[in-house]
Amino acid sequence: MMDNLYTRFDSVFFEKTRLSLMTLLFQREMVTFNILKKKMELSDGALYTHLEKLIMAGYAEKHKEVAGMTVQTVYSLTAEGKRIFLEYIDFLKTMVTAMEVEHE
Amino acid sequence: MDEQKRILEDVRIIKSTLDSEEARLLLPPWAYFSWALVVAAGTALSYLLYRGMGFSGIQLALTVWVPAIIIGGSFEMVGWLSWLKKEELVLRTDWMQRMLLSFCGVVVGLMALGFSLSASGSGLAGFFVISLSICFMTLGSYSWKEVFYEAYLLLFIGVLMLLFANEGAAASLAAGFICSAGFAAAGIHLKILARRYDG
Repeated sequence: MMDNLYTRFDSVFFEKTRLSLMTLLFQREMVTFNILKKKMELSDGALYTHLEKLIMAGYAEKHKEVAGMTVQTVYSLTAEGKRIFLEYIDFLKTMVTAMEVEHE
Repeated sequence: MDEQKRILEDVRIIKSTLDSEEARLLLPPWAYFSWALVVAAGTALSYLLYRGMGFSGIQLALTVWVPAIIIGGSFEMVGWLSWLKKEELVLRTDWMQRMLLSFCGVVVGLMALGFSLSASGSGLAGFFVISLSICFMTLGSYSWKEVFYEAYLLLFIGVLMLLFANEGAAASLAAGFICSAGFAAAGIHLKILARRYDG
């Protein structure tokens, strides 16, 4: 089961904070750094590092956008990021179903 | 067993993140209280102008309710902009565009219908209450689902008024104060919900 998990999804994705970040970006579409910081309760440095890892992996991107009342840097998922997130959701669904069958 | 724990933990993380993002305040509670005051004042003024000076429905709409909508709408706009600023929301997202388009469509449609009914001299008491109910239902679709309590209560009252007390000054007076109370109740309710969900 885990082999399958690690073969299909890389280590960038496999970290609790980054999974939460991916979920938040998937749900909200575009989020500013300050809001991500507030929601995730992380320091600037820690959040920046996690976001940069997601950007380097091609799962997230940053660009300028009108957010609130000003132009700010916002983060969003790339098409690849959305694809891998949905794929992971499908994978989790399959695994949870398999676990339920196993327990019956 | 470790892998099962891992998978369940990931499901929990995703679910808790999605749950926390499911609904939002949209408008600070004080904006509802300001609408409550504006509607109560407009209702009292309309009643006095109708009784004292014999204003017609369309005269009341133009002299009382257009300014009332502008004043209440201005407060609402200030509230909405402050929320937008606080939450640093991006206008160019599907969620935001769907919300803005649905609210604008509902409000403009109801206002056009209200003025048209007012000009035709139809009773409007039930219509006012049902209109507010429709606005709260739209709000409930984007905010916390508990807002539907006020929405359905107003719908129930509005339908009763439409059936049994839709015409006359007393019915309009009652409808105005019911709408005002509806705004105040929604403001209090949203304040409680914001504290519960957003901390």
